Amino acid sequence: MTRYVAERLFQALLTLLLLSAIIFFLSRVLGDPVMFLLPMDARQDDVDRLREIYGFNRPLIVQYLDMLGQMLQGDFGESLRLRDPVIDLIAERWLASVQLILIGMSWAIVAALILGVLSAVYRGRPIDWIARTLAVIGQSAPSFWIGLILIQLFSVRLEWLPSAGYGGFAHMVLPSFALGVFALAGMTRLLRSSMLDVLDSDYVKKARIMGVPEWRVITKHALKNAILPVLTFAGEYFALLVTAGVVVETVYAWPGMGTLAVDAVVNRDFPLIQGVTTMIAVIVMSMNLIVDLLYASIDPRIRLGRR
Amino acid sequence: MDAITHPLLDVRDLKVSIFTRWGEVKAANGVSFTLARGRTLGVVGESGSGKSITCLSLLQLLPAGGRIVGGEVLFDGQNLAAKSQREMRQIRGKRIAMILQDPMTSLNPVYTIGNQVDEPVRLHQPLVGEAIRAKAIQALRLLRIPVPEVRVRDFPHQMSGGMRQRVVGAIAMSCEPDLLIADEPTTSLDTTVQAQYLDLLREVQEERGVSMIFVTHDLGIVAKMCHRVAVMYAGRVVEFVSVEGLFDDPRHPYTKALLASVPRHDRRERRLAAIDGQPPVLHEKLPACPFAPRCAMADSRCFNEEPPEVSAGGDHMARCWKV
Repeated sequence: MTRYVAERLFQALLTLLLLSAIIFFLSRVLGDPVMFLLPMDARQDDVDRLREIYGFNRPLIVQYLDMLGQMLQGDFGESLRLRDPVIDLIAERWLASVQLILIGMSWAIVAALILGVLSAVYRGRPIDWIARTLAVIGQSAPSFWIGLILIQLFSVRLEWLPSAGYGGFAHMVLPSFALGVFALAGMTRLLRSSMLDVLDSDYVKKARIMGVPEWRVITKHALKNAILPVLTFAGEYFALLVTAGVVVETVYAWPGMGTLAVDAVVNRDFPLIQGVTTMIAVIVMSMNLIVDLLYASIDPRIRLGRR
Repeated sequence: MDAITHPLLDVRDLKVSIFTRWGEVKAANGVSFTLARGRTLGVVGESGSGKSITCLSLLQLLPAGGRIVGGEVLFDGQNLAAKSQREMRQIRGKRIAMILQDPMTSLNPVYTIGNQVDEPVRLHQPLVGEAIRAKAIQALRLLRIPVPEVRVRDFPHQMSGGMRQRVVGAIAMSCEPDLLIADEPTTSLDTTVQAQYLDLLREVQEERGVSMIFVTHDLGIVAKMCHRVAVMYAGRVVEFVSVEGLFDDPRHPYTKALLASVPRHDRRERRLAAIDGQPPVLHEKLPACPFAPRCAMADSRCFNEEPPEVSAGGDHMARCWKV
């Protein structure tokens, strides 16, 4: 197990290295931010001087290696626009994002477990029909649209919940709901179909033959197996939620890394882009590692290997 | 009546239908047989003849849409067909157990062997704590699983197919049932492992005196394992006979055809005698004797009047006009 985690951590480092290169070169395609930092009527001399100060006149590969060297020493540089160290900007924001993602994902998992199981057990009955309809809507409606509809309904019409901003629990409800809907829909559908497969399996039949009560057949024998394919995708959904989080944070003016990332890209703030994407990648990879460890803890075939 | 004259299982005119959107399928259409204590009944027939459905209906575990629509299942004097699901749960695993065909899929991959053998014991026996595991290990030992104290910690994927089927057998025997139903338990095992497993089941029967129903289409297994045989065709028992009678004096044309289709080393025909025609499609209207369309001896009466159960001497019964 330790060996497995070590392998995964090594893979994660390689991924981060590759990612740093991709982000670096992709962001340079846009041009550089010098024009945003100078007045509209700046002279060419000043433009060139500023480029020299930031080192944008050097060959790209030199710039990249320079940045990589600094990153390895823990120096992510300074935001070109905000003039603050990137590390500090991320430190201020990352927790709000992780909070939103974790809460969005948690309620989605709980609801998907309930809906998916009920939908499979009562296949073809009204509850199944409702769950499947919700799932299709949840998967096809974009999260910004859901976000806006929720604001319209709960903040504008009913005036129950705040429409935007960061604060207590009330501020959390709408954005985490808007964020979780997609994952909920996907996981409900996955769980329903894997649950139907498992309920038809021989070991479930055997449990019934041995007189195991139906609720125990479902919770003990079926669910633990049916959850495995869902768990495989839970990592993917985490990644998707992080991406969707950028949109949802913008809709709800949530002070997380999503809004920071949007600002960074719009302003071609290279160090900030690099820092935020690296941080997002670290979050996604840790979530994936947690999911994989969870998988191994449930499935002995993964944990112990096949003979 | 005492236990000697009273059979353990007496199935009388059992009718099971499966209601689908294409209509009613009469999966068992008047099945009757008896099984004495400590004896083994073979149930043979083609796929779709109603063997498995009949067995599942004894436990009231029919597939969706399936229902017992008539007849009685007298088990130790009680009619199981009239019992509720709640009452049946006290019988399943405790007094009647069943071994399914495929050991690779019959065990739950995410629980240890010990956990899975413990479960019926915990449900059906008045035992707690260590005693449960002790009972489970006893069952594993009965099925000759080496070092069961250690193997209880294994997961199914760490065992071979033959060993897994023994575990399935141990689960079935864990609460010392009176009746063990085995639905083609060796079909998916290697031939050598198959023979071992059959010997093992016979030993278990001798040790525990459990009655068995052996569903199979392998007449070799019938010869080896069974005392009596019910030959099924299109949801009916067409011949009910002792195992000697089956091979020496088969009366029903279908039984004769079935026996003729078995390859034999002492007769070297170039082709095996296949039964002409197709097995019946159950949701279509069948003639009075469902075998008539494939039967060389059939006449107009076979198509129009249902053949009665005709005695062919002693407890040998065949359902045919031509016995």
